[in-house]
Amino acid sequence: MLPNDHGSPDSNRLQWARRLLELCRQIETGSERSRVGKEVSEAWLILNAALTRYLKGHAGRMPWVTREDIEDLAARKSLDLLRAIELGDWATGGRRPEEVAAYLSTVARNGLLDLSRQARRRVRPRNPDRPEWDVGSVERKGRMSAASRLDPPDVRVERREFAQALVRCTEALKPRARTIWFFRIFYGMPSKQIATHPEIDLKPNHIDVILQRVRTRIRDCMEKQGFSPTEMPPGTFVELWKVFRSRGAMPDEVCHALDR
Amino acid sequence: MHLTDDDCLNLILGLLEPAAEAELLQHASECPDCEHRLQETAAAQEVLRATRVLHRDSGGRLCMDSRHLQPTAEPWIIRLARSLWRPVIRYPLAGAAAALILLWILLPSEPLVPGGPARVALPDFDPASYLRGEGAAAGDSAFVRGVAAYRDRDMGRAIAELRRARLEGAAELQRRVFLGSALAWQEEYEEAVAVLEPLPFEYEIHEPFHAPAWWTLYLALRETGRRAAADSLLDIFTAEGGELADWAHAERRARASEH
Repeated sequence: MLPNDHGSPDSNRLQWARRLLELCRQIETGSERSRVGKEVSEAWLILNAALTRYLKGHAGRMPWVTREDIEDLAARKSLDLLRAIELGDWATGGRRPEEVAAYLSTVARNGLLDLSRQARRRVRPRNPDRPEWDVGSVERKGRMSAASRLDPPDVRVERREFAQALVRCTEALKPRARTIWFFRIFYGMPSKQIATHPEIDLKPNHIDVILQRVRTRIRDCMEKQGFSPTEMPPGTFVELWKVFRSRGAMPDEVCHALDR
Repeated sequence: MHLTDDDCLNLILGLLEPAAEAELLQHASECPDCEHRLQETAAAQEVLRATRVLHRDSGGRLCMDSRHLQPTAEPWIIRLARSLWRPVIRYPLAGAAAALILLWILLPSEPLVPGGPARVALPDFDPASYLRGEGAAAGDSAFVRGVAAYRDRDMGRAIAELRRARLEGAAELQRRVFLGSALAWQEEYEEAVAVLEPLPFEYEIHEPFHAPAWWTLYLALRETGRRAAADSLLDIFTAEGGELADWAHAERRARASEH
């Protein structure tokens, strides 16, 4: 259990909801209505992430819901909620983090029910191969689960060494090139999406060229360190995310960009 | 202790104390399912940032749009070309280009690679140095006038005077060298071959007349269609080295490019 100075263990898990409440207070009292401020942007990201999480949970019972449905619903509902905060329609004053979480869960469930009502009017093909509990990438989920949690210590050490070698190889890259590679390899983002990301802002064909070069450099670098090209073993994502993408690891300008 | 969805949210939003964050990440690095959960949460946030953008409309109301690729500013020359690329300009330009291509195909073309020199003049010299004894005493004025006319590039007069001259020995060889060169200059190649071909180029014609005169013989052979003789001369030039070899190489490259 994490250290807690704010009450129950549940509320400690709901740090994001506590932060959202703080932001809501700042937005309600703020007078900035001419541009999208830092608080609004951050609240938007939190709302979207939280709604996505609840939508995925509820969608487990609705196998026809696609990932695109969830992304779309989360984006729309988070915008509605932001507007409600600004207009004072969603009074968050005096609310506890658990209440915020419960409310967002309800919003997510209602959103899915609305979607379900609309879906009944349309004929949706059902994909028999899609497991009902999975709304993510089937291939990736399968690959990750294939790794046993009971791997012996030497295998775990080997994996850690692989991850650390990869960190060393990617450290030599320019930050933007590294981010492009990271988005493609770990988030599976297509070139067009990477191109429009605010940290990147390039043309898709330029992205492809950079990716090609980066892959070659990383492959050469890994081979020099005695690792042959292989699939990323478990633990690699965490090692790289920790070093390059966690908020504590990113330079100030990127953190500011995150909030914009 | 596995990561919950809340943990993942707190992690990617950077809301945890360093010790708590390290503890969760340590677990995630050893637990593939938890790592996958964190990865998906982080990916969803980056996809949102990449695909959607918040802004305000003119009334200050929050709106959300899809992100689109920003059109990059083109250089002015490209914009100018694009603005001029209209049918009224495009079709005449295309017609002119087609006509040029047709002309290029139909007209006999010069070889793209330059060959050896098409004409090499003999250097100036003093005929008196060759006219000794009887010839010098007689002054063989025809030879002297012929060389002077050659120097003035009056090739018709040079040919007439040099034909009239009667000499012996080295002076006779020199007369024939000048006569052959003047004939080739006048494009009388058959006669140039007749005059130059018997000359002992290998051992009795010396520089600075040796290379220009021998090359002139090659040109005359080539222009009169004696390809085999001309080609064998090129082989000799190549073996000879120096200026002649350079010209021979250039000539072969030009021929190759023609084919």
